[in-house]
Amino acid sequence: MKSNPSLHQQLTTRRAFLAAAGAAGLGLGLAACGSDEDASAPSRKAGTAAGDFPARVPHKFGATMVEQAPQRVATYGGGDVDTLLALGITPVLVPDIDPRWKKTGGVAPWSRSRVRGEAPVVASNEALEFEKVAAARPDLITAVEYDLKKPDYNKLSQLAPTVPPPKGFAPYTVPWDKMALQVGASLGRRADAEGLVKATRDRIAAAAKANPKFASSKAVLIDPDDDGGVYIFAENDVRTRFLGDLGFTMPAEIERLFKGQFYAQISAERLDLLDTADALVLVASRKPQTRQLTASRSFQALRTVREKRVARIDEPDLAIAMSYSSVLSTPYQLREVVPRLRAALA
Amino acid sequence: MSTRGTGLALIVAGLALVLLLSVSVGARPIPVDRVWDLVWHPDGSDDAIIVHDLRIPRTILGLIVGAALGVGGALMQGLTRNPLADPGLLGVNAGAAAAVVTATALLGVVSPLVYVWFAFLGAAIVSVVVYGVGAAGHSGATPVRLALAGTAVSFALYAYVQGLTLIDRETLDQYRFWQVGALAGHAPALSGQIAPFIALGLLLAFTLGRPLNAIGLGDEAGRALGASPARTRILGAVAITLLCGAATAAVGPIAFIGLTVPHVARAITGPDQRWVLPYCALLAPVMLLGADVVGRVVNRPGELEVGIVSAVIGGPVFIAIVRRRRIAQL
Repeated sequence: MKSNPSLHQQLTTRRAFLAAAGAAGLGLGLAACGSDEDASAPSRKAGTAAGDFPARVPHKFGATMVEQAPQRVATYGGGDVDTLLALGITPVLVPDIDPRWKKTGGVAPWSRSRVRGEAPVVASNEALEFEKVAAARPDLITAVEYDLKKPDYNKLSQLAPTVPPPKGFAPYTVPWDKMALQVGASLGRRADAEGLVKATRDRIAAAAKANPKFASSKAVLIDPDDDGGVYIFAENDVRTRFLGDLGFTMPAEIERLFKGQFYAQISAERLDLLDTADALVLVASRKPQTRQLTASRSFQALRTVREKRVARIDEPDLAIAMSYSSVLSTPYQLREVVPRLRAALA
Repeated sequence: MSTRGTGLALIVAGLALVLLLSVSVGARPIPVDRVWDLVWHPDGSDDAIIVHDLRIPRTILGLIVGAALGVGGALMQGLTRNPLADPGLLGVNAGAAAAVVTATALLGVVSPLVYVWFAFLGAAIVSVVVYGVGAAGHSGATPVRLALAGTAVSFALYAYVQGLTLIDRETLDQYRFWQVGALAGHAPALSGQIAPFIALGLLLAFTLGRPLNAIGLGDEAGRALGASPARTRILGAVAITLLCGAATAAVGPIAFIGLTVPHVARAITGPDQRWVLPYCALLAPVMLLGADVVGRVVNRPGELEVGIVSAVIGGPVFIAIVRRRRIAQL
């Protein structure tokens, strides 16, 4: 780090935050909650899975052949970890999504109960640590929820068959269902993955059906910015997509602000735009910034705030889950967030 | 009236204009006559909140932080006779950064009105350490030794900062919040907290014009002209710490202003520090607030931080000045 953050550094700092927030989007929502367990796919021990081999997995760099059932899966994607665990496979290497999770093998709290055997090695999420990957002796590497570059893909492929995101998605925007299918395919277990997807879809549909008010309401998800304003997220972003799956729509005044990007910023002076929504979802992914926002008179003056139509997400793990989107994070989000959304619209 | 006098009058006029613009223009379009009506008669409306809670505090902050960074930068360059010196060179930024992360790691997330004191204290302690390291040994605190000591201490401290922010997410968030380099998003009371230190720093700096001119000729010549190099450097370091420490503690490191404004000032005034210092005090807020105003309108309804805008706009201006005329020597 240099003593004076240059323009480039400031920009990348911001981008890194957003990417991290996006990257964090990969956990599945299964916390250690009994009722959630049955919804996930049948649990199979790594190595005993039958599967269809050789499996051919198309992706953004072409296609990867997996010759036989993988025994040791390394992964560079937060959502991949959840998906693998949902399929009964404990990865041998996982990315470092949140330093607090390191003590428990880098696995998100909502997925932790599914870890079997040895805890995974935690590798840096910032830069690929090839030596660590090699030392983990993987026979499959997945990086679906990761911005994998071609040269890195080539290098990783020399260590083991490597599966990047499917074609047609910007980094960190692969939806949980496509992710499940991609990971499932690389294990030769497409049918199991389809079962997971169906179970998760049913849960979302049930939550939406139980709350018909969602479909007639407009919601905006906000994450406080450094300068007293907020970030908002477009409909193709996992955060907003979660709300959309529950039936919420986005106010037209907000929708037009994105201009093709997955996020936009609203200045502290324009918080009034947020009052176009029936409910706000305040994701406090960064505490100091959230404090600053909620202490400001212009935020407190919002009609949505005065009328308590704000669903707050203050728990750090839940805030990460919001930007995760996986077959295990989704049930966790549904359980925690749906009641708050209902209360905000009451 | 001399050229320098005329220039000064123009800059004062420019500053007045920028101050008016900074209150009048923002991400939210409010008619100018309404803005000024609300300045004197706040009516509790959203617009009134924006003018009183956001625009006025932000303008005051830009004014005092700008003046501090401009004069701090000029002192820095004059003292070290290094045209590339900026306030970070004596370790001020690193000291403040280390203090912010330490405070967060020890106390958890605290209000910026609290951690600004830690940041200031950190900047001050590190300045003393840098001076001590630079002055050790028999050649004393020469400009080169001070710059080297500042760089070395800064690197060590940034390693510490990076370590702490890697381990703890909350510390990282707090650190980012502090170091973003924006005039927006600060509590209105922040300006009042740092103003006394900056006022003191400015007063001290303005007394140093003549001795700085003298030691600018070399230590020997300076002594012959009745200026004590050691005394000037210590007082200069105190002033820099007060100015840049307070400014950086409040808004995080903003590099470009302290580096470039003294060059612009010298291009107009020549090397006489008695003119350079007051020029910087007025010119830097013009640049800082001008960039801030631009940042509010280019990305509506979002904003661009002043740190980014001042570099984007200031860069070409700086290059033009460097190309047009010989940089006034230090």
